[in-house]
Amino acid sequence: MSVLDVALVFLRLGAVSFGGGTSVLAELQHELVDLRGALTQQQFLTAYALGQATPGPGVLFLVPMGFYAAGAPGAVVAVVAFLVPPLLLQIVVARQWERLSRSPWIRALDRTLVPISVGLIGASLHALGVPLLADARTLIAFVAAALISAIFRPTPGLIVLAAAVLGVAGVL
Amino acid sequence: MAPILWRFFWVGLTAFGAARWTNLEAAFVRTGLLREEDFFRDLAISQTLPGPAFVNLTALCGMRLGGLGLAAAAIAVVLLPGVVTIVAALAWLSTGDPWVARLFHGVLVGAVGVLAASLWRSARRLNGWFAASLAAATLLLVAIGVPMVAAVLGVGAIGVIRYRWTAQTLP
Repeated sequence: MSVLDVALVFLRLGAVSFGGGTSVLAELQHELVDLRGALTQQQFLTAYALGQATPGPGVLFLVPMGFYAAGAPGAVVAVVAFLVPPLLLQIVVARQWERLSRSPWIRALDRTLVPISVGLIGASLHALGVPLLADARTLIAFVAAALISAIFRPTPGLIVLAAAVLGVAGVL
Repeated sequence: MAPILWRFFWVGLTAFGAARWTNLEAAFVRTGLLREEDFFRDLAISQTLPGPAFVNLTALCGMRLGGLGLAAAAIAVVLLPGVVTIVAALAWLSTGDPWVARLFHGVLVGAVGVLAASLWRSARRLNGWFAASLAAATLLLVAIGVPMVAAVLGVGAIGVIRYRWTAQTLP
């Protein structure tokens, strides 16, 4: 995949990433794995895991995805193309926010974006879960992680760390 | 500027999991560097518009503290710890050790479990059958392979028109 193609894909998806970077995972998988074959399914999953296991924004999965697609330049371009357009939009909108937030159309848009974000994150979960949850042990561990996270609400890093230890021990 | 950037760096180093914005709040609101009402207004903007909310909010905090230059520097130092870790991890992964693969398999299972719990919490906050239908339609369209831009625009248009109409007809 050329660096230009990486730029175009990440630019387009960054511009519609309502609900954050996680919301575009399904489309990224479709573009990078299914359509273009720039990443293997395993590389895609590893990239997401790396983004979640490191400090800072969860969207850092862009770095390994860009790297696997087009090397080090691809990693830089993926991050810049994905982040910069929304950032410019933030800066412009922040200056006009008082006026914009009074518009009934903007309020309607705001209400609409919440369920759309939920749907996109659901699609991302589907995209990650289908290839990952292929055996009973992984499925049980996934359900346990989800239930513990939903009920006890520990720091997500603790759940990821515990699952990593189980992985290294060969339990998963 | 250096002490402010150090605070951003520390936020980037210590922010994990959901609600990373609380790290920014601790660094800048609780210390009196930003006003609470400004911070939460910026949080609302960052969560409404596209892009990762944590990065967007970092930029808006940087803008308030020192303009565009500081905002750009703040994003760079917030991303730095994670990027360095990922570059190191990529080099480590390339060794092909089987236990490294097992480690990342475990990380992935845990992370997807956390994502499922986060989705469950978000879905429970959806207000009414129409919002739930919009979420379900978006999920279904993207999952069956409809381009995401088309799905967002299509579902978004229905939602905006309906919510705008509902607001107009309220007593």
